[in-house]
Amino acid sequence: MTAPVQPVAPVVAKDLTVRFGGAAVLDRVSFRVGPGDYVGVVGPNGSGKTTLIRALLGLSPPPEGRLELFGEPAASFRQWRRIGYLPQSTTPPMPRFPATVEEIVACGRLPHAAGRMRLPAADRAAVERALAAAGIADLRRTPVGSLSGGQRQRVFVARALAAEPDLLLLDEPTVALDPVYRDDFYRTLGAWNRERGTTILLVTHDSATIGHHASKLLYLDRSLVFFGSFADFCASPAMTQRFGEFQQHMVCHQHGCPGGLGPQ
Amino acid sequence: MIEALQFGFMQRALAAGLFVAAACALLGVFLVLRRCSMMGEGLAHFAFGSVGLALLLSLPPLAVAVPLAVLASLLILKLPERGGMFGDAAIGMVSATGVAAGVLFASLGGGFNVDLFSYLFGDILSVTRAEVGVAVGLSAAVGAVLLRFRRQLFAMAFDAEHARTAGVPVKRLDRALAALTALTVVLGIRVVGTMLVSSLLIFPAATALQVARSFRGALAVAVAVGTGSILAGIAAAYLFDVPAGSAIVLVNAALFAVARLTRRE
Repeated sequence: MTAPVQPVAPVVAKDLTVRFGGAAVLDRVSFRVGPGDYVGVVGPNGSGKTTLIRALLGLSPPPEGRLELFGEPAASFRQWRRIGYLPQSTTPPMPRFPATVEEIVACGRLPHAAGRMRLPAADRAAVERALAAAGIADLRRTPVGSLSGGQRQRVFVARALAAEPDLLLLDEPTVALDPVYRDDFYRTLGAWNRERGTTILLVTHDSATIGHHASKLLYLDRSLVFFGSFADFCASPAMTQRFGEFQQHMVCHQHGCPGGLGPQ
Repeated sequence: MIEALQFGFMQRALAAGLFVAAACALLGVFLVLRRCSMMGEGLAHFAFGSVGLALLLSLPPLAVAVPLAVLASLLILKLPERGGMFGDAAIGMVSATGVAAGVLFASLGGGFNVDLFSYLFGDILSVTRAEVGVAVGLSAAVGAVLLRFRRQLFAMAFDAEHARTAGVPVKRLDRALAALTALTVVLGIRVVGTMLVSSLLIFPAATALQVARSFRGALAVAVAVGTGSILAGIAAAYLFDVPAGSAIVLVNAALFAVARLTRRE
């Protein structure tokens, strides 16, 4: 009888350190994100959240320590079709950039059909699904430069979803979204996580909301302060020490955690 | 005007001009969106020096100018990477070196002669059959490469970092874009000359950006504007006995002005 095969973890960091000009922006961070995990990455400004995402994608200075994507060192990772990425800044390079919503979203399929003159039917169908999931199917022929900030954000969400990846890396995806669409967005993301098994790392300042949706929280402040389930977050001595007992219980109470104040 | 089409020189001018203009227009859209518009200007000036060297050594100008301009294009990309400067400074230095070398070679060759003057301001009505063959073949090749990689080039023009995470080899495509620009600029020198060739790259793209709502539309409008300006410029040269190169550029300027003034906000 053979031992069950351990599924490859989408993300593994071991003593990960990233420096900018000698200063460590991330300092000896270690964690493991399993297949199908939905991780909210939170922490104060300048805590290294975006740097973590960029390090995974090879967009930061070469990190120290170990950083792996699907079992491969992040530095040599090339299975881009497994990754969907929403960057923090999504401003078009110029106001009159000649691109429709559909053309931008189709960029998400590049790793799948890079060598094709025309996008194959299967890729066009994936673009359609992403447009529908982001609620912008009616904007497909609209020039991206004429959209509002919130509509544009949805276009870039759709571009990330169009990859139909195994791992979604989303950096502040809910910025500029109105509350109604933000709820839709979290519902859509939750469905992709549950039904497709998509692993998600979502950077946000909206820590009050992410606790409702993510299965785990990763709290950074240059070093790793907490990584685990939201229930453990509420009972975490490290977080209580950071926020104080009352505030920690308030946060957890908002999310109906066992560690929160109020009726248990 | 129609009867002019029976003349061989007119047929050759139209064939070379239309193909080079279409390649320039396609390339120009990518260059303008990638904020590399001035690369064509710098390489054109550099090519002036290369043509001067060829004439001095009595070698075929294209055979000398094409490889030297391709090398210069790669230098323009390398200098900012390794030399701690911005790209526009690198373009300025390569451009000035080319012009200075051209003047020096012309002086060594006994002063400006008619040949060099035609490379400065273009002489599309005097292109030879062999030049037409080279211009049509290479322009078609440039166009084919651009259309083949258009989706990757579009993605990196819009967001180079995201394109990298989608597997687009951004550095390699930037080098390819620079080399294609060098090639196209050298081809364009016979049409409008080193002083004006960058206008074939920039004007059609800039005009297209005023009116196009999609990327596909921008490519189509740019090619229509580029080739239309060749037809109108050559017609003007034939009918009014004005320099064709200058007429082509002024038609482009007029088309841009019309597009800018009539565009929907």
